[in-house]
Amino acid sequence: MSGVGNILNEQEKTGMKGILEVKNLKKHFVTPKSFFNKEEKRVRAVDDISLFISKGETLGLVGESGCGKSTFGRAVLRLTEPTSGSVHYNGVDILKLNKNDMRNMRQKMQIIFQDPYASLNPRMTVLELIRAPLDAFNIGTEKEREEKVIDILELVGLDKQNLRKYPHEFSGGQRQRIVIARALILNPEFIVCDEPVSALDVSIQSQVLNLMQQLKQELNLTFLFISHNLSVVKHISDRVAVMYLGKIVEIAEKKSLYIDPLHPYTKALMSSIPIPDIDAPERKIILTGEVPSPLNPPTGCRFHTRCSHCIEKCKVQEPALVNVSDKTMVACHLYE
Amino acid sequence: MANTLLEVNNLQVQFSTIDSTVTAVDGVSFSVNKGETLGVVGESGCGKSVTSMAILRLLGKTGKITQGEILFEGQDILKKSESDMCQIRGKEIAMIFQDSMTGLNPVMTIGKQLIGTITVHEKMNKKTAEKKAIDMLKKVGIPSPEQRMNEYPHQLSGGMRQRVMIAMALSCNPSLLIADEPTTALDVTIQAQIIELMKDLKKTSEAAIIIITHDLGVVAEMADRIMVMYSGQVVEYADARSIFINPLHPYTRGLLSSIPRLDKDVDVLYAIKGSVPSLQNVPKGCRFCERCQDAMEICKNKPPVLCTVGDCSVRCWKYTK
Repeated sequence: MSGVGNILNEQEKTGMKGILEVKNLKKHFVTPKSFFNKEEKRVRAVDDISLFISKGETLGLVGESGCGKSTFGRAVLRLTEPTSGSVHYNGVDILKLNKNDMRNMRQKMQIIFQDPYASLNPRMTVLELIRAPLDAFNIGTEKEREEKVIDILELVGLDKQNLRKYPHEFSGGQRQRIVIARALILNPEFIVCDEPVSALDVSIQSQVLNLMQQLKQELNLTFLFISHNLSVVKHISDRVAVMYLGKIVEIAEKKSLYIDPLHPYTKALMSSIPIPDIDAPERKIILTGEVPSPLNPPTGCRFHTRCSHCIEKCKVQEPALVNVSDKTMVACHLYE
Repeated sequence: MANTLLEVNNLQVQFSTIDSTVTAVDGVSFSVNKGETLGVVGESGCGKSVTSMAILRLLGKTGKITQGEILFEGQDILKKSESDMCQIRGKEIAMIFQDSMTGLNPVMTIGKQLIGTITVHEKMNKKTAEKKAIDMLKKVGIPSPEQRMNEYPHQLSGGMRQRVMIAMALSCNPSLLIADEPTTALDVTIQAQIIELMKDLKKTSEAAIIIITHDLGVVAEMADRIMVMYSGQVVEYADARSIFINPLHPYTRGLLSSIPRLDKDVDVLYAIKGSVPSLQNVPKGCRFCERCQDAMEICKNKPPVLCTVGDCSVRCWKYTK
């Protein structure tokens, strides 16, 4: 943790905030007008998000389905083109890069997807799969590439006997290891992990989480860890951002967020997780209603329809994300 | 025991594939008392869903119950005719499935489906059935139920659909409700709502519940007794308190300590090494032996039997005398 603190200080001096700095990022999906659709519909999947990630840090991003967390992860990597805003990676605005420069930039920025069954081509062997990024960027000779694959495979805990096997011969956990190996082969600095353990059983989930943490330390990686599972995010992150309907409602250091959540939504989210303990205290807050449609988000604070602390102001005025302490930001009128 | 509602003895279910036979459930025995909630926990492929499908005899063409008996209110379900089964399914034993989108008919309104279930099992005219359906929807907390009756499943959200499924399952006052991963497909805030609803229903109705899940948090909130399954077998069967306070089987203990928890901090998670063995190639000794940190010589060669320790049953050589 102190390491992260030092980096923060250094960056304050240089004016740069972290390896990745996102400013006012928006991604809107528009359904065009048509005969059946007289009005243009706009889904504000990611609506004006600003945050930074320091080098060597894991930022957890949590929220319910449809809140835009995956879209944010993709927009940061330009896998889906953002509508507006800026994404500075090591000081370079990657949204302004041309196709070729962006392609080179991708070596440093990788992604791990949720479903290890869908993200591996079933007709390619492990060797071909993991080597593919090296092939794409034409790095090294055939032999060097294979050696590199064997090294990486060992790093993620798979034996080199597996080189000629196909994905279907592996279990879910092993496949996720292959996906991680492929993401690591170009020595990236920054990895977006989009629900990497959600499809795995609990006993396998803990193996993969431990592996990711160990790799992060050994290779000095920076993670954006997207998940709906607050317990998993708590385990792996340094800081956590909570998203609701395309907005960040709270962002704080892990410790303070989990011990003393501020935003009513974060509080409700925390108390709705069933704790595997028979003597766990009764949950306190149960939200009524459901997440409103992002096609037609509520006016004012987007959470006001489900919030038990809602005041008049919440219905009309949207709260801004403001600092309430050194490292905690929250978007709620209660804390202004 | 007059209080026992369901008793499953030595159940074995096999699925035949082209080149082999897989034993998905192997010698599972348990019982459910009236009004009790039994939690069945295990990882994917451990046979927890197959067990519940066997109780309803819904195994399809490839699955066969090759051994054992299932006594429901003292009568063997396996000896019933298909038409008797139709009377039991939905009326006596109801089921809630994980995926509410595939559990409901997409081309029928909610009302039609609910009324259909009620009129099949109970002698009621359409008017009274409709009234009852609306009552049920009210009971599970659906706002403006009269209007919802005329809507199709796709017009409802996931949480609402799951409520409809619960309403449908409870509409004929079943004495046993089987819920197969009822909250897995839902978001946490909605999951909390559904769990709360099921807890309320547990208090108000007399139905016994079998809740099948991989989430130990969910069973901690709901279950009176818990059965932990691994690779088609019961490895531990005890009341909920002792499973969480004093788990006996190394697998149960591993499972509990490998979950990242909100209320505790650890630097490195406990990980059970390896993965679940394939059912086509089960180990000769204890099925958990290769992953077990307490494995002894005997574990590799001889399968342990379920033995009783206090009030718990556990399948492990450590506790066999």
